[in-house]
Amino acid sequence: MDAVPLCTNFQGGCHVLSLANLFDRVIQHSARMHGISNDLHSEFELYFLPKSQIGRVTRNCHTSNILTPNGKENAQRMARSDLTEVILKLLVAWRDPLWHFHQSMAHHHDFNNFSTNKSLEMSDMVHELRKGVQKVVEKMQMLGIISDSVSNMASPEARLASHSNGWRIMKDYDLLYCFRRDSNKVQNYLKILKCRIVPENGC
Amino acid sequence: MMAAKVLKTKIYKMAPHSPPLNNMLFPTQPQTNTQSSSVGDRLSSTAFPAHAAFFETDSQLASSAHSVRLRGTTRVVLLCCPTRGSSESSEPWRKTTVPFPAARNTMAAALTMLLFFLHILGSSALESGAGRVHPHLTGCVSANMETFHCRWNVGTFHNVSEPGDLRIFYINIKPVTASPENWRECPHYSTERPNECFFNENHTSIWTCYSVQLRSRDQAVIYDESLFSVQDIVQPDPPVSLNWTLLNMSVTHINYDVMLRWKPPRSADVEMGWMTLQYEVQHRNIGSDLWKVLDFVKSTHCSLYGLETNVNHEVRVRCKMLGGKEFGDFSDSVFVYIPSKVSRFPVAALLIFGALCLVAILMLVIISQQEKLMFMLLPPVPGPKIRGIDPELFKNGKLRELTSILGGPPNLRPELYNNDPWVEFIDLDIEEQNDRLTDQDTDCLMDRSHCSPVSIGFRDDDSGRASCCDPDLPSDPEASPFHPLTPNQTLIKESSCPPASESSSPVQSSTSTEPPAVDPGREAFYTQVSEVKPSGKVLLSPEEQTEGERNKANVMEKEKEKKEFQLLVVNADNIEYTSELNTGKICPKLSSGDLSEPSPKGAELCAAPPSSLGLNTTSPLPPAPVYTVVEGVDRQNSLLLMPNSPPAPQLIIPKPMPTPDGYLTPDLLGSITP
Repeated sequence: MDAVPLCTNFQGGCHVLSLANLFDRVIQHSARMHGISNDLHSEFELYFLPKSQIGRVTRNCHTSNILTPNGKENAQRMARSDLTEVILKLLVAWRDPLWHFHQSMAHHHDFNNFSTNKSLEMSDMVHELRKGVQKVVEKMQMLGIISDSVSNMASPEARLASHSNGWRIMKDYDLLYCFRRDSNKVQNYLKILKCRIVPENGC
Repeated sequence: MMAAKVLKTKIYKMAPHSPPLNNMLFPTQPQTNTQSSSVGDRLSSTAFPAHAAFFETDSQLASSAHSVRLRGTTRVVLLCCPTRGSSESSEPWRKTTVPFPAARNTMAAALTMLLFFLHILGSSALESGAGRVHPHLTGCVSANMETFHCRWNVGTFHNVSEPGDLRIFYINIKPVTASPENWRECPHYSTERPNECFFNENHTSIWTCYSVQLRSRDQAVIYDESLFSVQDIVQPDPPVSLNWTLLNMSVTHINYDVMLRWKPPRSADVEMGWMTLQYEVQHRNIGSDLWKVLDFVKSTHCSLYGLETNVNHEVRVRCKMLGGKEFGDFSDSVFVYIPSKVSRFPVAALLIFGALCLVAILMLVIISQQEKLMFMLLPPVPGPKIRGIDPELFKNGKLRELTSILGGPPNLRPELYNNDPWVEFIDLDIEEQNDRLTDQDTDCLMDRSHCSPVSIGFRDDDSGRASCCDPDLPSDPEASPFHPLTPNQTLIKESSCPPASESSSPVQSSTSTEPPAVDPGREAFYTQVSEVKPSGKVLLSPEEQTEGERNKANVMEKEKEKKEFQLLVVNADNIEYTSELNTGKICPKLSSGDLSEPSPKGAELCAAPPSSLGLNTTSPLPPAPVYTVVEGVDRQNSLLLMPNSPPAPQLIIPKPMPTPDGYLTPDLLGSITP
């Protein structure tokens, strides 16, 4: 991709990123985020988890109340704006919990520095990814692909999810498991969205 | 799931000095349990010895009785076992501690063998005997994260072999939906393979929890249960269409590189990115069992470096979802084989041939340069090899002959060593000529063959000759002692002024005697002085010459003058007669400043000529020197000289004319006034 100069006014001759490029970037970002969450979850499971907790069925993630398509076909059938909203809701819902998770891990002496850095990176990534997706949404709205009603902040569900304190009582392992699942969702939803909006070969 | 209960622990054997123990019996409570959990029960006995390390045994429970050997233990903890079939076993391990009284067995009493019989009843009532395997789920696997299937194994039970005896029920927990979930039966029992339940896209939801149970026909018994989420059980299908292409071959045709390509499994939706795969390539030689594993690659190609020719390689690939836990199956192996085309036999033959050629060349060089090599390798022995002298003389001890031979001129000695380069001869510097001039002198005086005039004096210094046999350089006329002396010529007796004073006396005596007969053929040794220049330089001419030759010789001599002669003029002031020829005595090696030092005899000799010389240097060279022939040697070893009759013109010596410098014949003796 060409280097993009910082444009204050993109009508002044700046080279603007295409939507496909933006999608590629956020997809790469989400893939990396999922990778980190997967690593953290594996480490936690390997080193810190007592064996009694493996295989527990009930995992009530605090994002469980967000309606998400649970399959490829469901996601493909979903409206683009709805799908975009789901993505944003998920990202918003995880900002605070991950930050607090990192704080608790930093004080936890069992975690080594490597894992602590990963948790910090993870929480930063969620924040960055949300901003990236926000940019994509703005671009799409500008292009008229989706309606202007999509807004991450205004949705009551999002606010509910982000302000719900359900995550505070979650244990660390469950939190990691939930985030691993949700990051996988975000990654796949973004891929489906890109395929539908800027179709390439293979979609 | 109920835990196994330890029924009975019986101590089988105790160490002799430990207190006796009672048999410990535990109440047995067989409990019927609808949930099958005894399959795969594992007995783990953990012994906590008081002193020693942790000791754990794991053994699959095949029977309800199990004996464990424990050494020096104080306590046995029995842990039991969730089911084996489920991927997420939910029940913890149950612990039952079996203490037994502290046997004070120290480590020193090492051979404490305790055998326990642990009777454990399976919790399942259906397990009436030992060795029964329950029907169990072998696993639920999704290949593409859109569908999945569950497979089970009937075990060893007899009454469930018919299809339909075992049924799958599942429940999908979606927390959002408020409607109560019901257990539903398998949507599709696979027809391709038995004991498999397939869930298609409609019945598959990702990111939700599934609980799958294996029940009996009447749903009375639950044999197995499994809990999972679909994204966690993804095992992709193996890659397809493996092929390899040759990248490059090494120069020696021993190794080569190969590019391996494949395609992702068709079931995985990689194009859209629904599944992101990473691949693992393994290869091995056919003969070995060890697979070499390469690092993960995300692309569908991989390079294999350093494969060997003439070896059959087997390559296989498997893939895993990025972020997934388990790999899929391996692909079909592809075989890579490249025969080495260039046989090594010519190379070896070439090497041998080249080595042989080198050896042959070396031999040729050695043989052709044998002499030089011999000289280099075997340097000349600096033994007593003197030219002209048989080394046998040294051995035989015939010193008389030896000295006689040594007294002779070097060039006249018999050539015993024909220019052998590796024989190095010793330089002879003979100082005491009196001691050596014995028999040889007699022979020479008697004018016998191979005889040379008495060597008046060997030069005593080392003037750089390789051996004493080298002919003297003409530039050093003083070195040749055999100058022909003519009485009526101006001869400078160089020998009369030797550098060393010690030889002056013999020189004197010899000058008073007749000069020895000279073999006219030995022209190299005899030179007469033809002219003495005013500058003091002396011109020597060869012995037998005609006048014309002499003129030529004169010319030649003059030309050679500068090269040859560099005699110092000494004491020119003493010359009384001013003549063209400055007959200042020529005493080489005695500078004018040193004249005060030479021996009085030498000085006298030198001084004598000026007074007695009537020089006629402009006269042409005398035709022939005048020699006195020695007639014989009398008994007292004195020479008997014949009065010689020189040619008249030569012998005409005018009275006032001086005799040749320092050379006085007996005839002239009388004419010389003292």
